[in-house]
Amino acid sequence: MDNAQKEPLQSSLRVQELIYGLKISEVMTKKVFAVTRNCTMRDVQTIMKNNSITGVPVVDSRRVVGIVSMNDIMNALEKGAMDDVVTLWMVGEVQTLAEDMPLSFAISAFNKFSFRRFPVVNKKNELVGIITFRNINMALIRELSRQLREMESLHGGPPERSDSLDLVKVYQLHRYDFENGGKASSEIKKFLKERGIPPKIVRQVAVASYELEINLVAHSNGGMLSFDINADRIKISSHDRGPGIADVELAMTEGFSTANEWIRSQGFGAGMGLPNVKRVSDEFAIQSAVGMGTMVRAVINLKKEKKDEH
Amino acid sequence: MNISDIQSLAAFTCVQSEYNDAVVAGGYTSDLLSDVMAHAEEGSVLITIQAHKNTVAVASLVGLPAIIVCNNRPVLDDMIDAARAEGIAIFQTPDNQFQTSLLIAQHLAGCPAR
Amino acid sequence: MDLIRIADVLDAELVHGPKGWERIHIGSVFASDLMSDVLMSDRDAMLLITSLSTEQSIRSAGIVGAEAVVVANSKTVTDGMVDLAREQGLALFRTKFPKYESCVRLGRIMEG
Repeated sequence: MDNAQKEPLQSSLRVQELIYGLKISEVMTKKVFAVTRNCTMRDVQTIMKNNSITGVPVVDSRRVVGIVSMNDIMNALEKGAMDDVVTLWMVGEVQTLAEDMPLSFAISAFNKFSFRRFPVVNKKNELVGIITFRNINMALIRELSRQLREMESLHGGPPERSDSLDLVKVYQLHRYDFENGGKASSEIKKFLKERGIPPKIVRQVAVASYELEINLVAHSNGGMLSFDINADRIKISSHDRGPGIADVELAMTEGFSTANEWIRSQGFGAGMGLPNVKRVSDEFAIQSAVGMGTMVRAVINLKKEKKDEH
Repeated sequence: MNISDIQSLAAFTCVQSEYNDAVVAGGYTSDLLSDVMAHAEEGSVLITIQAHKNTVAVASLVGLPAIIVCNNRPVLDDMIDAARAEGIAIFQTPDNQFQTSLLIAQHLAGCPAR
Repeated sequence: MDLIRIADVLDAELVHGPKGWERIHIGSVFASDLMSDVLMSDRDAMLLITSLSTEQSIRSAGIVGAEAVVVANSKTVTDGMVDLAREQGLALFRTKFPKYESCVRLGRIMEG
């Protein structure tokens, strides 16, 4: 018997894929109210009241050095210390998020830390926005309505041809579920083969997606693998819910692996997975943050003069 | 054939040479350490691509005097250190496990490949 | 070399064979228990010898387009593996010999 677990609906997977597809920068509030070190708690209180917000980052030359929340205001108020500078009451060592991270990382961060908001920074570590759960809800509603509209406008269009290459498909994978790891690759391989894609390319796609599937099963807390295929290229994206890779460069080094003996006894963990994906892909990108997750994107072009490989 | 005879073969690069030279009793080809533990016979050389510290631990437990790492897989320092401590030789080869198994078998039989 | 010859040399038990498996031509042998290693192999008419008896060994062999898989050390072959072999059009065997011995036996006939 196959596993009793029912396959989640493609539509619900599409919603999850949204979380992975959106970047934090597309979701965050860009207009941030921040204060500098020499401002007082009273200044912050005024800003909060006038703008209906509950958290204000403290910056020093655009770098986040702390955050003041409603709670800190209460504490200062209680002690009659509203004229103190913010540095005396703020919470230092703020957890920030990077603007180019996928939205899924932010959701993991909300689950992991008890904060209500995260300042968002750019590559130079400068404050560029702030993200709250409200932002996430609004973004999801916005995107879902957009998708719905698209689907409605597509409805009644030409019927899907069975030889069409266009396909968007999402698969969900669970930790240590080696039994099902590989099913997605098999299906996609079959799909491409039936449409007459050259064996060499089919194989590249199968190898990349298989390695990514196994990575999700062997190393992540679970996640999803999505395929976006058209006549030009095959885009494979893998997203997981953590634990994240501490040193991505090291993880890309052949022979390096964090696999335990059990994973090795399953024939994996040789430290070749990610290098293998990169080897067969025309484009490859990886992004990871500890405690939040890992995202890998591999693109294999269909229209190309294949470079020699052995 | 001794371990030192393997060292003299062109196909192999010795990456851990502080070993106790011994007669090679046979070969065992595997990447699954539990399998090596269960089936490899003492005195065999282990032919594998599983290049890490635990391989040395298993080789030591079973009494395998040498490990041959195929496909030129990188051998990390901690593996070399562990092998040195146990007096186990480590060789690297660009050949795969099939080719290496044949080569070792031919030399064990006394009829080296041309 | 025909698959039937290989089966004979390895004294192998046929678990699943597509129609006409006896005459399938094998041009190269690959021995490994690590799937990433198998995925990196790029050969035609390949036979995989492995001591990893799981569905994943059949999947990996299928992905690289191997013709046949031999499971070494008389390891148990599951129904799931047989189904996958059928799906992928692979021949699947079991031999009592370990991987080393299997390689050596095949090497002998391939040279001769």
